Amino acid sequence: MTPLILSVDDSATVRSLLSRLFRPFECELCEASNGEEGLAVAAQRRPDLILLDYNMPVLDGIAMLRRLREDPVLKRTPVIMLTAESGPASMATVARLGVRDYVTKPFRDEQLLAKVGRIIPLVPRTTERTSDSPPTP
Amino acid sequence: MKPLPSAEALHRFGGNALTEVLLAWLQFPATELASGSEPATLPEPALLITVTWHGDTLSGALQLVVPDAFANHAAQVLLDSDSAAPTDALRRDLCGELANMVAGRIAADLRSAGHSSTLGTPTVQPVSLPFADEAHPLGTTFTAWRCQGFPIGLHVRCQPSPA
Repeated sequence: MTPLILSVDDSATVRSLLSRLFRPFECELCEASNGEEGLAVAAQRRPDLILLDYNMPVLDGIAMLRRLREDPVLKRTPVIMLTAESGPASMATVARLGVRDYVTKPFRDEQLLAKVGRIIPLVPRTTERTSDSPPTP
Repeated sequence: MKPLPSAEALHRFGGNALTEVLLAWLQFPATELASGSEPATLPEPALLITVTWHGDTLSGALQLVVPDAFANHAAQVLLDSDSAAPTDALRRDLCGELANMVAGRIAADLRSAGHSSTLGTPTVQPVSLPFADEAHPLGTTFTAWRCQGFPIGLHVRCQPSPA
């Protein structure tokens, strides 16, 4: 089964970079632009991994994480935090909330892929998917 | 109470953060220009990006001024958008994220100096130029940079948080 990654980031640039980063792999990426949207998409799609921005409008990463951990269905969903700030205090907060790992922006592609690959299998696509062909079942 | 960072410290925090982020994210080296030489030469149109931080002891803001042409160039390089020109929304988003990363690094340096704070979300707006440093009674630094041939202005300021 193709793993599903949920990218929650208010920056369209970052979401676009993540989409491009994971395109060569057998995985599906869905997106949300803030924590509130992220919770709704997570409830609907049940992702295998969430890449979560720290600093967002409407509902930030920490608040989304707290609500995620209170949700009986979603509470065990692995989360990797993407943060512009790597201070020990903020990292201690996210560690207490069960974040599996974090990367500091700007992240290096190979660093993020390695961290994601420890949580879900990242298998290279064998054939290039085109926009008019259906996803691999 | 920890003392406020000096203008020299803010200068160092801001400069290190900007150069590190430009190099790591965009592979763009940046060079600081001599004090006072650049603001009047910044071309229009340009964008002013502001990120604030608030803490118990200290609050402040970072302001980054970049020409639209720099934002366009950065978007094309970062997103390989060779087929169509990056949209205005994308250029603004990229600049907001750039400033967010720079502010994140400054906030980490301020935390190391004993001042924890929380970052706000970036605001991006067109700016009328020349963009000149304003007089601030407390820690303020304005520096001018050149990156990929484009001028960039960086303004970092801090003040004690209201009691």
